[in-house]
Amino acid sequence: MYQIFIEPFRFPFMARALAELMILGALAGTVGVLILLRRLAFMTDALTHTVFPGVVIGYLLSGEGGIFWGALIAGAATAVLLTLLTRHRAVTEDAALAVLLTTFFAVGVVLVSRESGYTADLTAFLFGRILTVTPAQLTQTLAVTALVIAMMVILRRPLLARSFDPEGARASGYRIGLLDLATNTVVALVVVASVRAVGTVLVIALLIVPAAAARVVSDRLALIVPIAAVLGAFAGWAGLAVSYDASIHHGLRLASGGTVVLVLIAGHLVALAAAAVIRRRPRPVRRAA
Amino acid sequence: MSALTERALAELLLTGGICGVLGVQVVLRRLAFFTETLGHVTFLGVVTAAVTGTDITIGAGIAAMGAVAVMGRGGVASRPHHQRSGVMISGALALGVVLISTRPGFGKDLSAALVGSPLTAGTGDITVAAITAVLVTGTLTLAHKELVLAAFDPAVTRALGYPTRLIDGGLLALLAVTVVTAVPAVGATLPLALLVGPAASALLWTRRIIPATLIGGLLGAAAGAAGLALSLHYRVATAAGTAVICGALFIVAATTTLAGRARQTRLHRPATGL
Repeated sequence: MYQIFIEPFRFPFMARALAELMILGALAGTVGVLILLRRLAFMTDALTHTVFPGVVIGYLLSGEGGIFWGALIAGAATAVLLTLLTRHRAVTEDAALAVLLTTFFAVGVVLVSRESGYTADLTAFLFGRILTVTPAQLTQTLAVTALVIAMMVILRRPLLARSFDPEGARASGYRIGLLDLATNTVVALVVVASVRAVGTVLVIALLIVPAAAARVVSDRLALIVPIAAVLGAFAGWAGLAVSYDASIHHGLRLASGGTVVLVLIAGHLVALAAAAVIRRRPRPVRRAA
Repeated sequence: MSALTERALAELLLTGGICGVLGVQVVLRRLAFFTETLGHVTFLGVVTAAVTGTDITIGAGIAAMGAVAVMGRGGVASRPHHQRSGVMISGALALGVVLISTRPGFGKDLSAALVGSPLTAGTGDITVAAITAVLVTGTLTLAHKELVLAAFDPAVTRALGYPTRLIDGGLLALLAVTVVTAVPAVGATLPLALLVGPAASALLWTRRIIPATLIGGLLGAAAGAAGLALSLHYRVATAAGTAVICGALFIVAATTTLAGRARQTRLHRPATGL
């Protein structure tokens, strides 16, 4: 066990990858509960695709350091365009999301395809480079984490009211439009922060699966949030360790990002099996015990 | 025009046409996220087939049909269902990525599976596309009344004695066949562009189903041909060019109809979807 789960992280690059993944896992797990409550899975999926051209343009303009800011601008552009398109009375939200998702993503692919070494770049952007995380990148991730957690703590009452009782929230004077903007911003920030490490494609797993698994085990928000955060962080650790062990000791190359997600999916399956054994049907999420 | 570009043109015209036609059903029933899920599961099928050396179309077909069987029960379009779709997408992608990473030198296959490569489409791919075109247009023509009724009012459809589960399941199966057919041309991630962009544009310009379906088919085929022209002149990925054109179409449609629609009522969408 020691050899698999502790030893690899004595290398500084592995320790940085571990720290980055565990922070992102815990952060995404927490924000994932908000996505679960507000049923924003499609919006999240769309965001993970629409930041892609931002990642590419940022990289082309100013190298690795430009990825974060490019993704941030693309995420903001998505939010603005989505709002504009859904103002059209005959446009449904899911059609608008689908069009934005595919168009933005395709713009990214078009830009990458004009470079030489097209397929190698494409895979790096899509699946990230967790093993080359720099100390500066870690600081950036920590800053985003602090910002997002602060936003969620400050806004927890209005956000919960908006999730469980939109009419009541409106009646008690909360600004629904602003709350939705805050929610979208939080999700976009997590996507942007994770993009360089785990790639645009695997972010969705970090945001969706831990909360889904936690929801299977419990219907109490006070339990779902910590379970999702711990599962997200644990999957980062275990996935990294397993992929390292398989590559070094067994000659089997496993993509680290993909392995992390497979650990998450395994966690979800275990949760489903456990719930089936206990034979308790999930009830609607309660706000408090 | 070389034989290579002729085949690519045929493949893109057929794929674009099929997607534009079937897309009207996807937009009406809000199946965009389900289609997205279907695409990602199909990606896993393509990768598994490539790694194990089986036929790509068969691998993709099995995966897509499996996804319909697992996911395709009541309410795939409803938002509570989205969480399950998200988990499916995550799992399929991760499994696909890990499978590919075990085989060095699969980067090219990975990008072909994700975003397609119409210039390498063979006559076999075109035959499959032609068969699917007949299947889709045939089904939509024969079952037009049932499909529209079931899309707009499932409860009445059931009360009138129509087999709603058969209609819904049949539509999802048709969607799966279409996504699989589109993989050689636009990969597993971009059929959604051809399925939603042209059809959603057509539905903005007309709200009658039959004209919208015809316009959707024409726009889809045109987007495919224009994407090929873009890629030949500006050296960009063909499928991505096609998807960008689909997006541009939709932006144009939304802008041109924005003013005119202000006073009209919203198109009556199905209340429950599938």
